[in-house]
Amino acid sequence: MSEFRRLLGELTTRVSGAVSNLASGTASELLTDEALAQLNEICARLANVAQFATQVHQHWVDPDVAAAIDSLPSVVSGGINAHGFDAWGFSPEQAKFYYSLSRPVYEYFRPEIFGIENVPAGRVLIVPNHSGQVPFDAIVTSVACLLQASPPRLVRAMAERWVSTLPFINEIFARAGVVLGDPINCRNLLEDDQAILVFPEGVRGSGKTFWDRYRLQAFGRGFMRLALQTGAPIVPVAVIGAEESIISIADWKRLAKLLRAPYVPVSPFLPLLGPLAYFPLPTKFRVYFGEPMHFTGPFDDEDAVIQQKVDQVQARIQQMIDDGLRARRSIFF
Amino acid sequence: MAKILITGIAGGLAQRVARHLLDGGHSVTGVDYRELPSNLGDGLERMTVRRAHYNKTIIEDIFRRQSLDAVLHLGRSGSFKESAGKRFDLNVVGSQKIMNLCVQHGVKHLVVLSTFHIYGADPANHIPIAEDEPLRAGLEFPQIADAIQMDNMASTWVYRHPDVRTVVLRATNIVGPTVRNTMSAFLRRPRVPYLPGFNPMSQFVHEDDMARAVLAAWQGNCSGIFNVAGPEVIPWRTALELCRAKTFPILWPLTKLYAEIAGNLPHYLINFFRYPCVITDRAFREATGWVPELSMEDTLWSTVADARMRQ
Repeated sequence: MSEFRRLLGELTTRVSGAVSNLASGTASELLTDEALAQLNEICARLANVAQFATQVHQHWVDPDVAAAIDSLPSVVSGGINAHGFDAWGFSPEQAKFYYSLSRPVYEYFRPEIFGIENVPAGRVLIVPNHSGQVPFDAIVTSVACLLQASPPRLVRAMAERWVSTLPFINEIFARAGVVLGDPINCRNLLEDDQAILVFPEGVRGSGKTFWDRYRLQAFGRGFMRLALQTGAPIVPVAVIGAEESIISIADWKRLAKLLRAPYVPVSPFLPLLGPLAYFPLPTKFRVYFGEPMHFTGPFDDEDAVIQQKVDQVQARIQQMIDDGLRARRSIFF
Repeated sequence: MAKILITGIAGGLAQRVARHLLDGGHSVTGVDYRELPSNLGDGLERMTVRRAHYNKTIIEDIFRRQSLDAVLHLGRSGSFKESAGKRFDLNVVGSQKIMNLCVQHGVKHLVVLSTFHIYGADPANHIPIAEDEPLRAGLEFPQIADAIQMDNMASTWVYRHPDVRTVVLRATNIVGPTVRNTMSAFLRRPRVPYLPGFNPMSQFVHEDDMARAVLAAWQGNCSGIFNVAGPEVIPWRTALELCRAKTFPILWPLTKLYAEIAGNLPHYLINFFRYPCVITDRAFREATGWVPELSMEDTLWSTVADARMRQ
């Protein structure tokens, strides 16, 4: 933390220095090397999260996270090039930092993890239900797979195309191992024996309102075709508790269209709390990893045939959700 | 000894290829539509050099007088200093003429240098991109139409004229000390911009490696379209660090203005600083055994070293 304070202090002096330069300097002086260098430095510190992160991450890296990432097969066996990246932009060093930042989020929900031993080594599709407006379920599942699974697994989450267009977010996600949700990306990673995190409900699941909580939305079929094509097992996952952390009573479709966002949740606490209404409630997460499901058959079969297999996965996850809800005594404890 | 015609001989890549061929005892003719330096030097004096528009009659004479064994068409104009009409004339009509002449005069081998720019940098790009995937660049940037059409034309040639063994190379960013293309010139700038919040994975191939790729395509027995990528995939700003470039952030809405002021910076290139366009050259490596020899550090630093010394 002291490092962070030092950097902030440095930044303040730089900004004030630059402002006074601007105030006193003539136009020609403004374009000096020094001024540009200063501007560059400020932007780098303020805006360039990755550069900022590499400077301070040493102090924020969680030793458990670092050990887990160092033990990953892709990191050990040379899937990372001399500059520290894979082709998708995953960087073990920067991922250590981002996973360390995710750990407080993980701890905030005090997750109880069941059946993590069901996550096998080698290629696998991790398929949870999706809920809670903000993908905390993805963070909790990813951190659980990294820190609790044996051997530790780095899950490559499949992101919406929209994510690639978001400044900063796209870079942070890529460095932490997230990839664009595309069949070819997914197949390449599975053939490389990596673990894929895919939410077949997509935004239909995460953006759904409180009235539909714990009711699975329609699953896409792409994940099943990829499982069949690559012979990867599917681990069904039920996440309980995410539905109640950020409650949405409606989807503000017009604003979403304006923002080009997939959905805009409306919180019931909005009139009372303002923006604070979106602060996630400290619900307790319960994450159930089911036994791996193996499917066989041609991957390019008719939709109806693939759908039957998808339905089996969906039914299994719904069953796990229902069981989990019955076992739950309190939303918060 | 083979008789070989190389287009784009005013450029660094074509000269490297020519030097390799001359050293191998082949007879080389070089043409370019651009002005040629009076002294090419370094052993290139053994080469016959002609200034010729690819769409004019001088080039026909070259085909008539020599019974060429191979044509290495490396002279695509990517320069946006030229008008769209001239680029179309050179790249599409000119290439068509060269390819027709190859058929007429029984040339056995044709290598056409295309570019990976035609795939386009797009948020929907998966990684890596193989040869048979859609060319998205034209979607947002119609100015690149000439490059796409030239590539398509050459690709159709592969199947329509099997008697001319045609290899189309879609190369990633070619950089190097003697290359003067847009990307090399861009990296040599005293200050290179980046978009805050975006740091896409990028590829570069050194002109030496690329010259060997062209030779491998000529010597091999493969035909068709092949990507040629560099040694590694690195983020854009890591590339700028390896170039030891002074950088500055530029906001997205200002990039088009910057491209105008900077000159010779095609707008479609700006998307490459925002979204990844990572290609795979596995097919080319398997078909020819080619591998890049230079590391990413050497590839980038050799490109900018002279410029940095001057700066």
